[in-house]
Amino acid sequence: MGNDFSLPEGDNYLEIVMEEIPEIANLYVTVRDGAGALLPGVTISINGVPCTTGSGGACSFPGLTPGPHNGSSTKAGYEVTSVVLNGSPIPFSNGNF
Amino acid sequence: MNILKDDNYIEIVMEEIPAPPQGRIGQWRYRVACSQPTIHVEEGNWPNHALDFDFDLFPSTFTISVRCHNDSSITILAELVIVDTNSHISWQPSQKSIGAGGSTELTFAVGLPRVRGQYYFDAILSFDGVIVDGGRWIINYS
Repeated sequence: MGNDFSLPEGDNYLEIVMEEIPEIANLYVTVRDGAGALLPGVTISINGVPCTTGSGGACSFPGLTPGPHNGSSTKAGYEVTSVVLNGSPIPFSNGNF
Repeated sequence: MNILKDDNYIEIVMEEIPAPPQGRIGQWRYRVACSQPTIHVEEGNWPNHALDFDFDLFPSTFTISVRCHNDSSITILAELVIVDTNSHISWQPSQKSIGAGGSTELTFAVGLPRVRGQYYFDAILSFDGVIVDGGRWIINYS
């Protein structure tokens, strides 16, 4: 996409600054219980930023930077038994993944 | 975890932690009687040696409380064993002596497994190496 501009007679010098567009990653979290039901009231933290799941058992973290991140999932009386990221199981320990 | 650019989806399964058993699940009250002739007693009469055992189970600790009402001292040797389908955990016998009218507690720290199933808690009480009583309590995590 460009803008029209006119050049006067003689030499003209054009300087252009271009900045790299940061890559964005969005993370959508779904929490279920052992029976497969959506689980509300779970605190999900990504890099220390918390989000609590509602009745849909979901949280979202938009605008992340692609790359490694630390996450945790906590709910009183519950423990994490499985974490699957983009279809692949990932390691976890004591609710941290 | 490694997040890729654009959209990522994570699915977490959380299961309810079985509640550990609370409070007292069994009481073992033992009174030493004359019917244990193999037990060596230095002094006194056995009926006067009253030993009460309260076997309490709390989430992480076993405690056997022993009170000696007699004027003789006695040595108590207790061993606790946890048996489940996958493991058998035992402690080295813990031994204490109590004096006249004294009391003591033998406490065992137990890492209760957070796995559903049935567990047996065995307690064996012996005096001078002679087993005089034992008990089994069944815990159900469900």
